[in-house]
Amino acid sequence: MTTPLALFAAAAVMGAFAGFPLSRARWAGHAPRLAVALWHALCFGVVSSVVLGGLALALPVLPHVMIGDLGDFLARCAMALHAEFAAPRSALLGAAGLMLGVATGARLLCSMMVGAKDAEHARRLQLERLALVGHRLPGDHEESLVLLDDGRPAAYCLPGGRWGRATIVVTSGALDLLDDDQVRLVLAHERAHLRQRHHLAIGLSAALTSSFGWVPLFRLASSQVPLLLEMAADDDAVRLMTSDHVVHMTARRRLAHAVVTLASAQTRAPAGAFSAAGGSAVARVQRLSQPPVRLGLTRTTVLAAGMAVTFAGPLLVASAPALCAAAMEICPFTFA
Amino acid sequence: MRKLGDLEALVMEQLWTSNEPLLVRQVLEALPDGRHRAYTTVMTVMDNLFKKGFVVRERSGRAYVYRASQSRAEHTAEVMEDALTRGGDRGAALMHFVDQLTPDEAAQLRSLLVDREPS
Repeated sequence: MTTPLALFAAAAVMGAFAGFPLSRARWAGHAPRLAVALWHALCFGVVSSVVLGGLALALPVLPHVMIGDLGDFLARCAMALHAEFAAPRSALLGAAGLMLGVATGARLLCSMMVGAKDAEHARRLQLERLALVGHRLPGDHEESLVLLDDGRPAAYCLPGGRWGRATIVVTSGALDLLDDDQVRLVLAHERAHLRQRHHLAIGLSAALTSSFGWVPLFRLASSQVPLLLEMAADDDAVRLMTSDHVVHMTARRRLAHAVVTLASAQTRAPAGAFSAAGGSAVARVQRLSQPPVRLGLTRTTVLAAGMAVTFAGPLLVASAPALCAAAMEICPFTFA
Repeated sequence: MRKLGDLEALVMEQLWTSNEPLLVRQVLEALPDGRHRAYTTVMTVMDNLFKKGFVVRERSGRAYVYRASQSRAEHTAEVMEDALTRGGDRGAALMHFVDQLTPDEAAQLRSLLVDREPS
């Protein structure tokens, strides 16, 4: 009984509490990519703990039904596993565990698929209309660059897929407000989003929130991850510009100015949906106005180790009894 | 500068500049290098545009006459509206350079900028 209990407890603790310190961590802004990875590791840890915990509950009940006929070899392993996975348990509990594990996984997969389909649909509509009214600008990158004749300043990117190439859209209104370097920085920022496939990371947190929005960790992740990805894209844009002829700090300041210019030009009456996503511009400008801070080696190592534990921990805990069983003589597995 | 989705865009251009509904034949003749294009190709393209809702058509004798369902400006405005309203959702269909601001945040940004001048 220990294994499923340990896993459920881990899931509860991580899901309920782990998000709060991470959402306040100052270092997250210094190493946005690492922070995103840690958010995802925690989310994955919670989901895998629940799924594996459920399966661990079900495992002792399962063999009678499912692998009863697989011969002496498996039967002996199964017996060893039985012993290891602890005391006799009702089939009811096992069935509940199986249901929990399967339902959790299925719910998440479902909402990921729905989310991906919706996004795909929205992108297709955009690309179809852009094909008619957008002007394709020549560029030397793999993404297409489209100019839209609209006075409202905006820049955004559409990830590629079945419906077409990855596309960056800028409006004439945005070009009017920015100088050449800023345009370059904005395009580099969008290109970073596309190349690093940030939409997948955002889609994943969105799927978690839409299926299990009551888990604090998931809610916090989906509010933090988009901002951290903006910061990561900012860093990339600045790095690209710095390699040319501009000093690092100058590039940061120019990008900050571009954020301020475009953000303040876009201000409208708050319309519900927008206010939720807000705040990122302020945080980005504050961050870009200061010199970058590098994370120390110790801290990076500790964080990476924590990430590995949350990521692989549940699987190790769940498979521990099986590994023990395999190590016993009774089980004819060898790890040669 | 070239238009995307080449032939579709060229066809729409003709419909937008024309004052009256056009036959496929008329569109073909008006196309820049219409002489070298197959009638059926243009017909297919216009059929696709109809299916996407970008043109409307009605019968005139044995053939259809086509006109654009929306002006170019209306299309552009709609792309923008769609893009802007998707800024808030988390589906990640598209990613904006900056999110739209609430008036509060705008004020905060302005004060940040004042603090940092002269730059």
